[in-house]
Amino acid sequence: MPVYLDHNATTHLDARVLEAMLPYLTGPYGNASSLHRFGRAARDAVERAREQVAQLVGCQPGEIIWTSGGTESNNLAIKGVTAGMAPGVVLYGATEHPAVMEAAQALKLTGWTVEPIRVDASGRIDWPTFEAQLRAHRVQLVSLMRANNETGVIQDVARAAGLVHAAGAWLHVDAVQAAGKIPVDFQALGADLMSLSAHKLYGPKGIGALVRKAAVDLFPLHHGGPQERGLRGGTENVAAIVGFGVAAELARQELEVRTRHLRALRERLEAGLRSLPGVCIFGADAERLPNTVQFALPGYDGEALLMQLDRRGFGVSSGSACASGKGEPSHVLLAMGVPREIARGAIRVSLGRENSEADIDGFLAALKSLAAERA
Amino acid sequence: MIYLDHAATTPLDPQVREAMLPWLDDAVGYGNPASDHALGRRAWAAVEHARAQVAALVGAMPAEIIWTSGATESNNLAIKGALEFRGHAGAHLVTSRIEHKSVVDTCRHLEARGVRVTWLVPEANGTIGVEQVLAAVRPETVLVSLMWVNNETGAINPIHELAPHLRERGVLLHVDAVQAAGKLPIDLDTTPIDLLSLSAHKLHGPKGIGALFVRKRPRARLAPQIHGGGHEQGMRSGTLATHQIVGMGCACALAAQRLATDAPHLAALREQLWQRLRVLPGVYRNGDPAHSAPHILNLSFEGVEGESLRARLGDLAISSGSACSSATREPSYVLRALGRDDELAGASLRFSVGRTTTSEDIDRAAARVLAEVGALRALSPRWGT
Amino acid sequence: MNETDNVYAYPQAVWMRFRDPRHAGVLEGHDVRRVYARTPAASAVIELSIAVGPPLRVRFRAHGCPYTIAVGEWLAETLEREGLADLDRWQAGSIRQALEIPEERTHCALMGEDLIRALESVVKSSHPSS
Repeated sequence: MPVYLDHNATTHLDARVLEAMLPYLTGPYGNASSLHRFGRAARDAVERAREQVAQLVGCQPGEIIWTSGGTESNNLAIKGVTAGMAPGVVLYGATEHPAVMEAAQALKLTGWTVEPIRVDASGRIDWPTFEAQLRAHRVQLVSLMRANNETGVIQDVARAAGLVHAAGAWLHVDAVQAAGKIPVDFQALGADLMSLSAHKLYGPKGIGALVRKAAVDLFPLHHGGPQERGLRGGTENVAAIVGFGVAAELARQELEVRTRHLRALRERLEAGLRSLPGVCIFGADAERLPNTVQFALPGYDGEALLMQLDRRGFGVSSGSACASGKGEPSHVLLAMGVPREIARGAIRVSLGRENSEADIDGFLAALKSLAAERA
Repeated sequence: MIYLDHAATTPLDPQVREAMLPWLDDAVGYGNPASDHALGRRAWAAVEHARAQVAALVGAMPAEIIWTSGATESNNLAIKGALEFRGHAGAHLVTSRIEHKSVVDTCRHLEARGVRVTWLVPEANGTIGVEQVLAAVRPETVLVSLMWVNNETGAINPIHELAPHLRERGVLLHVDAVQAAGKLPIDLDTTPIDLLSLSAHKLHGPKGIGALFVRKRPRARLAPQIHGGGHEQGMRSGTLATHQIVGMGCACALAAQRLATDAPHLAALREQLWQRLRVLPGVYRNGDPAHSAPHILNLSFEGVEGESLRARLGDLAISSGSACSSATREPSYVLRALGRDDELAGASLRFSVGRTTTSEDIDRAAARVLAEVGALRALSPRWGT
Repeated sequence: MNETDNVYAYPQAVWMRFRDPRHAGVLEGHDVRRVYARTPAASAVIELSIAVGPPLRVRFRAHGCPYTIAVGEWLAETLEREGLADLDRWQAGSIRQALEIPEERTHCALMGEDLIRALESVVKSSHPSS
């Protein structure tokens, strides 16, 4: 049985979530937009899930738009807000997920100016530069992640919100990695839009949400159909929506317990890592997600370590689980000023609920023996 | 409850469910297909197997299948992607008034952005004719987007005849095949369609997953609509939902296996229903059975009001038209083209049969319709006076 | 058809009368008066026939949505119960309230009011002394 240490890529489905989903996979198979009763049962389930997700992230149920996942949410936020505006300026954090960066870059085709926001060596926003950017341009939209998928570094989004709003812009927060791992409150963060994904918090793949304040004009990415008040056409994926709802409710109820468990495991892991000579843990000075450690062992062949760990049954990753940029060093680490050759060998461990101290010890032992072999 | 709304959505086939479950609850089934470790590669292999199954149903190559969240996204990606790749300026697009809302709304959106759109109206048999399409094509026409089978009446558009003409003229052809797949044979190897939309939940697969066929030779080129991560050859980013994809693959494999037996079975059920109901005076069949997909029967009932008829038939899951537009109650272009006035179009019911429909279901449903049409007509001061 | 088949969630007062109208039909005879009401586009129509009796009997026929049919049934049963006195008190608002007719279906209640007004003038003309 492999030891799975890649929970920021995806998590297993909680058995309780699966149980809640099963009746909707086969049972009342209505199209939630149909008027007849099978459809109504489905619609009620969809609305219940909306409340559950809203409770997890401190927003109104009516502010939630279902999507196919975090990537679509990020695209909908960035393209959907800018579609109704005259081309202006969009800023995004230099360590954002590719879905945010590439969606923003795509705006250049329609005349937008798109700039990254620098981060410091710990991966946190470089505030003076950010403030200067807000002063220099008429910025319309800023996109920042609550927590980074690779390093786990948490951004002070609430502080950014004050600056963004003072500059007259909207703030989009990518909370895909944060939700379920740390408290996320849409209101308190001061976000205008926020992206969520179910499969990062023990929910199903293929479902996500965009939270949107009613004041933000949004144009749809998928036209057609009255679903989601015309903002996102397509027959609702009822089973997945129900699963997202239950996963969100469980995450809310169990957040403290999960966090305590993850934090303890990560401390054990980091203590072990620090005993390796020359190890560097990225973003170590910053506040980070309780489950994430990204590190490198300079002088070792990081890619070989990854492959060997995989063969020994430890599923870890170099950074983000994306189809593009394989073999390229992480843009997150480069933005933090990490040299390319070190960044190329980065290893990300992201822990989950089912991990145990034995998993950590096993991983450390494997890593140490591999490092010794390769040294 | 008798379920006769298979054109809106279908029950998940038990075999499809079985195929999906390991990817939902198996301890090693949850990897991210893009992850480069054992769990990820296992999920990736399942995704690629499913891709081949979907490709086989429509005679395509696996690399020509792009996963989406459903047919609405497929239609959006095909149309916006093609137009955006070509550039909106001066571009022309041909579609029809009877397309699914996702096509109509997408084309309207492009129209608002300066793309010229020709909106074809169906001929008296409810289909869009080849000559009609060709007459609308201009030198600057980028794309023709038409559905293969109309979701309200089941009318089949002459895609086989049309496709070679468009290829000859260098115009891309996008076909929304949501109602056709699994009901009619589709062979993209011999039919020069460039882009083709598919949905899993219309053929006993799961909701929330669809596919777009994008031809490799000659290559149909699209600008991506969802960026980030470069999944699906850069055309559609986002973590792949393994269980959904496996479900769609399995549903397509079953549909391919069963096409030869499903299609005549569905047609027989549809005809049985028509035979039971045609004994009523004042009932009209909307569409030409000779050019119709096997699963849809659309009827108008004279002398009754549509909402009351549907309300009294609450024990039947049927539709008043396309499931996507029933909430908005827009007038049906298809029924108007067939010569039905607003009242007859309003008093229309779409029955759509499926693999699990039985002959007894049909008899019971027919008896219910006969009873309620009779009851409403008896109440009406207009009928028979 | 039963209770649970009210899948479009019509108000109970509407659904019962629509599902199972007890006063459907037409009356014939020398003491029968008939009145009609329709929507402007004539997409819906209600007919009442009243045998002034005694006993007073009222029947209705209707073509239209479930609210239209329920209004017909409600008028027939209420008129039979309360008689033809005080017809001037009957308003669309009270019909809407009795049947919980939503705002967007007010026209159905207005047809009911039209019927009562028509009935008033028929009653007056046939009983000039009253």
